[in-house]
Amino acid sequence: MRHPRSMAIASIALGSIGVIISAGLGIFLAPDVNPSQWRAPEAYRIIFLHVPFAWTSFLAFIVLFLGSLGWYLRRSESSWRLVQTGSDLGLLFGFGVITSGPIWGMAEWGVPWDWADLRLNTFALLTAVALFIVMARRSQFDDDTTRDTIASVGLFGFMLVPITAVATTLYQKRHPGIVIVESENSGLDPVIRTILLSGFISMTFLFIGFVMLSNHLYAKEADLEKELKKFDLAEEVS
Amino acid sequence: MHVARALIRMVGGTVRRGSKTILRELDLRIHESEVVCIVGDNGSGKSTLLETLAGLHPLREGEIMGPTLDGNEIVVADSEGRRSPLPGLSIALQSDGACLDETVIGRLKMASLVAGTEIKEEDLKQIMAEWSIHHRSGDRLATLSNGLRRRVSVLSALIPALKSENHGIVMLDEPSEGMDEASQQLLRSAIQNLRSLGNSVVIATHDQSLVNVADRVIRIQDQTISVTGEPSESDFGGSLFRRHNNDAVSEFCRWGVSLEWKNPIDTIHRLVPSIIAILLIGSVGADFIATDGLFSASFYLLLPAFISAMVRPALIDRLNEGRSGDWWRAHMGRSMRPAASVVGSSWLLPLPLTYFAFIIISIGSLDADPNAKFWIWLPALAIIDISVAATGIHLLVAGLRRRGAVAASLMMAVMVWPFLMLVDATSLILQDGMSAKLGFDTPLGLIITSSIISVCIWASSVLIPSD
Repeated sequence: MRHPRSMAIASIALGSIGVIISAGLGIFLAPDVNPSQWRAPEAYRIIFLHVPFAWTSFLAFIVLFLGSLGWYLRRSESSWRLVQTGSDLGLLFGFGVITSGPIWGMAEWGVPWDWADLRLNTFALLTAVALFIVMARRSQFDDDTTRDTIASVGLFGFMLVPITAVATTLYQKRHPGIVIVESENSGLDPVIRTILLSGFISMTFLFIGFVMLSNHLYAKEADLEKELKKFDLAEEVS
Repeated sequence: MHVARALIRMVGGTVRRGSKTILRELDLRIHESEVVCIVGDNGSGKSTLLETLAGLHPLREGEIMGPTLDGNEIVVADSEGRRSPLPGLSIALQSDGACLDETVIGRLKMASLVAGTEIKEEDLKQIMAEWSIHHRSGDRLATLSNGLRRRVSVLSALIPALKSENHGIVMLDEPSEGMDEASQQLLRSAIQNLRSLGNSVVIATHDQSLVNVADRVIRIQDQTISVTGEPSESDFGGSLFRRHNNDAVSEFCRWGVSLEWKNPIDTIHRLVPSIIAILLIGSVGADFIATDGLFSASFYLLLPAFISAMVRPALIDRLNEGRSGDWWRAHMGRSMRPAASVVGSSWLLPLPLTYFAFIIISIGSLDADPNAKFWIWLPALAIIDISVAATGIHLLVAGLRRRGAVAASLMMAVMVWPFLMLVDATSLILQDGMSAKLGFDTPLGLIITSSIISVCIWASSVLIPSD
């Protein structure tokens, strides 16, 4: 079996190339397809990045949730590595969602943010939680108490998902969400669907590569910390 | 006479701080009517062991058992995050364990009540005279020297046990540090007195004179312990164990309110940005706000109260000062966080701020229902729920040691929806007046929904953390 780091780098390279090709196809090919389907046909190209970003950030948040739950219940090092990886990637891909979303929203809806939109708001909250966790991990002493608190924050973030769902749904009843103009033909155009699918697959490869590399690096970092501690003790003795 | 029963039992206890294991697989028993000293070099883990027994540090492995009133054992802490207050405990941490706005007499009275002992005023004055702090009884701790503050801190652990008819557990971390010789002599005699009353006394110390009064000595070295001495015999078997005060929560609430009364820093922190917001909104003018309709007017009406609800509560700094939060946590266990989220919230400001905004914005001059002003108190009161939930989030983040290095505000965005629902409710009140009907298109229904969402957020933030 090949070294996990090599596999991770291969997956990242493959994913990156795929994402660039998908974005290129989106920019140069897809706008010509069915422009009547969109209010702002020039701006909708961003969905070829926005939607795959949403998919991978969703995966990252799942990793963060599983890691937080694992640490909360068992305090295992492997769970903590999942918290580290999930929060890093949740921030990275989540940031992609909440920056690309408003750009598209401004062109398509006329407003950058819709408080009645469940998906956008949920991703924003989870990205904020991921940012909080990344900042806390970098700024705090790495001990069990810190990890307990961070895992609690991770779980709290996921408790917000159903609460946000109920809140936005109820809010939407009085303030109808902004509806995208639908074309007469139902479903996505085959060209758009193909480019989107290619974006999804590429971004998933990128995500898998990042997860493998991140896990590998954090495991090595923990090993290095152990060795440094031995040096510290040796220095104290001498 | 018989061999005394074990009041605290640690089985396979492992404690880590960071990547360093401080204590490894410790088995330890603390018996009734004995004095145990924990000794070791600086940084060996004396305080960590004592505080772990008090339930202040999470166990990586193992469990700690404590006594119940009927003579059985309960799990006080374990590696799965279970933590309850150790029954019959009174503790003096190495730091003050108190907020420095507390007065000497107030601190001692409150500490006794929390530990389950109601002490008479005369008895308290007598003890304060013996320990030479009676002349300072009404002073704030902030005005005392380190040595005097140490005496107050140690006395707040000793008094409940000395003045109780039932026995309990007293934990003292470096109690003689900073004390003069006379006070050290008083301390030694108080410890012997506690033992004769059937109490267990656990002391982490460097002081050899305290080690000399101990029945057993626990030496910590290289993450493990070695014990010298034998548990003493006791005739206290089956006697009454000191009941923990069930009203510790109400004492905590009283403590929080009295500190705010003495130094209203929380009110000022919340008031200043809210008043600035009202004045800024007022400077925009009612005419401008009116052009955007009643929803916009409602938004500006509730915004100052909402801002006051989002501010980081001063209670967090008070709990941080002198580790008073840890002192409360040792006595209250998991009930502390929910209680703190309620005590630390903005209870008084939402109502006056909303009416002040009503006057400044001149909503009366808008085309609003004439009776609206009699009902906007209802959404204003619901802002209190938002404040309690926001305080819960602030407390969740406050579990981190470097609190100033993280941003709790990142998780506050979720409070937008209960606020927007209250804005909706207020706009309906301004438009059509109040209605007693329930439904999502009625003010009452929206206010109730907003409160339910706030309660759900609050519950998530205070119930998930394991301390």
